Amino acid sequence: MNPYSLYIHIPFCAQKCAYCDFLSFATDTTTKQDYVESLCYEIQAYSVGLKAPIQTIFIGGGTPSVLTVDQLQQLFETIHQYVTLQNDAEISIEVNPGTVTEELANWMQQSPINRVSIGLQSTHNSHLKTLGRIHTYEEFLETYVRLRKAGIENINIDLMFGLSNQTIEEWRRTLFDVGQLEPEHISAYGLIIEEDTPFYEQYEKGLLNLPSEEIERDMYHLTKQVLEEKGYHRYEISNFVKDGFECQHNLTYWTDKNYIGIGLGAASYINGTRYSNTSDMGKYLERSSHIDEIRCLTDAPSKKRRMEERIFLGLRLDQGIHLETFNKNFDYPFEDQWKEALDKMIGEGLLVIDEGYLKLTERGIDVSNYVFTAFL
Amino acid sequence: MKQENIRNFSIIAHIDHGKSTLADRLIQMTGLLTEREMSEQVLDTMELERERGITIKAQAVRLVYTANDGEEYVFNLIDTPGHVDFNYEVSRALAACEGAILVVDAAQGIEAQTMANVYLALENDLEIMPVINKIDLPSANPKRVIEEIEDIIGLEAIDAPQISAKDGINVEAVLEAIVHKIPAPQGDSSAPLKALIFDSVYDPYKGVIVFCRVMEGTIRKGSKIKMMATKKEFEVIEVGYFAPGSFIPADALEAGFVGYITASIKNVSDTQVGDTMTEVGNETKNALAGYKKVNPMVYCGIYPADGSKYQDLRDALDKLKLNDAALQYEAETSVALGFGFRCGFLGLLHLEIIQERIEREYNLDIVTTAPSVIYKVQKTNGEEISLANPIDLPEPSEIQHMEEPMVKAEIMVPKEYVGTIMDLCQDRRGTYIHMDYIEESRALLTYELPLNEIIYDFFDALKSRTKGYASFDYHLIGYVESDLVRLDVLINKEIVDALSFIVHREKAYERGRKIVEKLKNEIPRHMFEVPIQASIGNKVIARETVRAMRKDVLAKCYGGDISRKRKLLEKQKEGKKRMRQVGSVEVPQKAFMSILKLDE
Repeated sequence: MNPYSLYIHIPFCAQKCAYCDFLSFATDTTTKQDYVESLCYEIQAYSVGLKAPIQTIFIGGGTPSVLTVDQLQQLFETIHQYVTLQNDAEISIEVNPGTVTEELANWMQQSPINRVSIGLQSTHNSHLKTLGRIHTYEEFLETYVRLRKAGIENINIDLMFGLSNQTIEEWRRTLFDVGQLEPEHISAYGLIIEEDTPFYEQYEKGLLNLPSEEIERDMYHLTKQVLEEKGYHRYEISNFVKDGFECQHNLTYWTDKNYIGIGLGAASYINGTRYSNTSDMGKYLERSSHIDEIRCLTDAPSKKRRMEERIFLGLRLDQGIHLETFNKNFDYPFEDQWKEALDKMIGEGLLVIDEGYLKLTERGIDVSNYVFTAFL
Repeated sequence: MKQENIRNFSIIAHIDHGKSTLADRLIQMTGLLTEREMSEQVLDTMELERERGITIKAQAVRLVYTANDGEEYVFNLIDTPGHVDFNYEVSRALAACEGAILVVDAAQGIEAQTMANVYLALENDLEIMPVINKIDLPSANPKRVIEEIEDIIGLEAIDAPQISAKDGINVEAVLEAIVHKIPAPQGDSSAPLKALIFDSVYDPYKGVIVFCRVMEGTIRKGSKIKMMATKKEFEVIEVGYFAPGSFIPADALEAGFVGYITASIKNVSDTQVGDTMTEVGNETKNALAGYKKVNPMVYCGIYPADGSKYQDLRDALDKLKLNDAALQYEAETSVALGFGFRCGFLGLLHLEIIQERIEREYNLDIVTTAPSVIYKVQKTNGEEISLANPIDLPEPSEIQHMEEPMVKAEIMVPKEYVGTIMDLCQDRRGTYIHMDYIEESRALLTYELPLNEIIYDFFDALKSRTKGYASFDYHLIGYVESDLVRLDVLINKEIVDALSFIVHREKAYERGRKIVEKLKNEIPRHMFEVPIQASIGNKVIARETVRAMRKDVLAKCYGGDISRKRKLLEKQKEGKKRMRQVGSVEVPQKAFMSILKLDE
């Protein structure tokens, strides 16, 4: 029986960031409590049919750390009661600087949580302000130290580059400073201007001074260079890590494994079928114990599409796609089927086949959407 | 109905002076339609016409009016297109009338098209009856407008009805004036048949419906008729009158009457506007004067955006042609755009109307190439060719000289913009002819301009430089020798045939530079650098470069993102499919059209 991963969505934030298009919003105490209870009902409902063990849990958001210790405790008690966890399960939680109290850190120490992801984004307070973050770099440092003291031995720090008015030197500085802290994992994302965000409006009005494509890519390549000097290696387009600390939960997305999403708007992928939970809070709170009512099937991809998705997800990883395994899993000859695309992309220096693995080159990463579309 | 009680007339006006509104009002007041049936501008039946506020095809309507003298009169109102592209159609519609109502806006006064229409009406010996409209406007100045009409046109206007067609003010005065001012038709109903075709429409059941004015003789159901220009013969199946939006069959149309006939005619081109119908076996000696075959002035390539829709495009053109004898087209092939058609139009507006009708009524996405006029090329071997597609231009060594069509343009413009407009005309290679001040604040500028300088965006430029106050009319005056060259556009070193055009040598550099700049913004980045060049022969005169793509990557792709990101990739792929392949470069359809508007 294949193990599952569990994603639990906490759609609450103290304040929404200017670039964020995730399902999250500020809310009141009562809704938070009702929501946690609904999450527990949904977990309970899943447990009836779910016999497989859970190998990773990721509590994401929003900002999960806006929940109280009691609420988190309640959530984990439910998980403990209804779900079979593997012994070595990776259990992550996302936090934002300024929301991790001493009490929360202490609770974490004795909780099953063994990985914490901190949304820092930038070490420059001016950029943090533009991004709509509610914390300063100094507050982040406090949070980081507090978590370390609480014995968290696997920490990720989220960073962003390609920001309005950001210089390459500022980015180098950010990477350097964060590297000095020696977190186990660093995610470095190029800023994407998503529709329906304040940034999108500003962008449309020409109010953002974004770096050119060229500079943005230089920043990206600089990331790899600086972090490698600090003992990290890249394992996915935007993810860097010290040996052995790859995020097991996120790997399930890129390697076509099953995951169940719990909570408002959460996505699931179960035996080749994609589902999505309702985004209607009222409905969720009311009916979360009836999975069929809050969840709808969003996609049941054909074999061909599953293979295509496997390709564009798998190529995000530095190790690439093991062609022999792919052929075996899908009972399909990759190199014959996509010969034309393969030849073209290898010819253009965007893909390589290295010891049986198909991988993007550095240039291939920069234009990876172009590469992926060749396989659709 | 006696001839004395018939009035055949048109309404002429500058665009937006209220011609259609007055027509609606007349129809309403003569009681043929109930309030409920009245939609805005009932004469303009085509959806497109209504949106643009213009009348494309002439139409006619028969109104019954009981005048103050107690007599019943039949009014045949013949609607005319209001744009210079359709001048010939206007003149034929006018030829079917004895009089014309000249509508002048009480605030704006006389405009360029007012003058042009008056000249046309005078050429056709019509009695012109001025009406001053829009007196409800706060800025209305009927007194000034009366003076303008008397001074500039030389028409007595002191008795002209002052009305608001929109509010229905004083419109009865117009009806009475029609009875008294416009002459009744004359003509012998027993003479050999002589009937003028002034329009026709295609009906899928009845075939072509011919709109005609009987000048002499009588046309009956069963008559054997002959078109004197096309020599085609038919048997009349139905005759009748026009009601708004419908036809009323009758037994016969006598001299002086306006109506329609059907005769199982399959092709609109058999019923040329301006042609004379007569009766086989009892033919009239002379056809009516004024018939001429209409020749397109502007050509462009029309291609289906999706190559597989070529046949659909052909069907659409075939059907449009049924109702539009002036539209011409023949198949052509472009390296960049595949299979399509070279189409000929009366003018740019005609082109735009056809383009929109194809897209709207036939639901086809099309790509249009830059419009071109017809150039005459004198070859060194003595041969003369008419060039409709720039690609067919012979080698420079084979060309003795080239000629381009010229127009005489009359531009009416408020005084303060005279300088600006003279600059514009100068810039468009215009030759100043003269200027009249038609009143203290407005001037009528006359220029000779090359047609190819006005077919792109002259009208837009005119409007934008005068805050919309300038009005404009033109007519073709002939060909003159000119120093013309073909400007080619090269994308990644390959000539894109669909982008080539003919231009005056002195303007080539500027145009070339603008085009490459524009294309630079339209062509997406590729994996490699794409040079865009403009050249004359082998000489490159302008160059821009689309830099190679540096970034096309999604930073994040987690569980909830996958379906969305997949859609994004699919969209990207679809976008690619819709592009045109020029060598190894993908060019968006839009790029082919963007070069039409270089002034933006």
